[in-house]
Amino acid sequence: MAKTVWRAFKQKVLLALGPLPLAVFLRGLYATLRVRTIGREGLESYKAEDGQYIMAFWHGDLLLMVFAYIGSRLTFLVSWHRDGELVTRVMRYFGMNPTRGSSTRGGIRALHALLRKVREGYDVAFTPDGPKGPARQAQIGVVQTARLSGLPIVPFGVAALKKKTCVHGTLS
Amino acid sequence: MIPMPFSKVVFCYGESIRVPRDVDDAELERYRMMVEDALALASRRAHEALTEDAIWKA
Repeated sequence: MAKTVWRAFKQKVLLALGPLPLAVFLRGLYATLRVRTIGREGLESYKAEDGQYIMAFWHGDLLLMVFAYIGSRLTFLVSWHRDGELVTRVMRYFGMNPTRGSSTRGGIRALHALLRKVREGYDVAFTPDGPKGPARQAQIGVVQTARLSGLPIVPFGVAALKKKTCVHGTLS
Repeated sequence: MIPMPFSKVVFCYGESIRVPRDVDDAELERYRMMVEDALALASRRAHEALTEDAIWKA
């Protein structure tokens, strides 16, 4: 019952609210969670030495990732398509700076835009399976970006108990 | 994925992967699979930790 209500709430109310209330909602929700981390120490010491990196995670983990990022300057690739707009605007409220471009159309240009941001000192968030999927299968872009930027890829995973998965393409 | 309020959540950071600049296409594919496997492993470790008592006691 609670799960059904929760699901309906997420899909209808949150999407209608827009980016700022959604960002506030996410912060509030996060405050209720019991969070534990694994393997954080190595990344923290690497960051302490000004190391930049590519944080790779599945597209479905996008909205929790904003709380898991270690560092202060992060960019990510977003297509020009308006589907990406809401998530992009939410992520701006978390201090993340989008790079516009499409991995399918004009992929090389998008890659170069990302590399420019890397030279400016940004870390890169990358969803190797998204946004078009197939889910949980990595496309080659993340490896290309790592090769050309020289930055290490840090794989990141999330799990939650009592979780409900959204309908694909909404808040997943 | 958005968890319900008051859920337990685990973040897992895996071992980093560096891709050398001079790799050929076949090797690049090997790195792609490496990333895919590493992401699967990070997700699996996070899921396993949800039910590991030790991590939740502290």
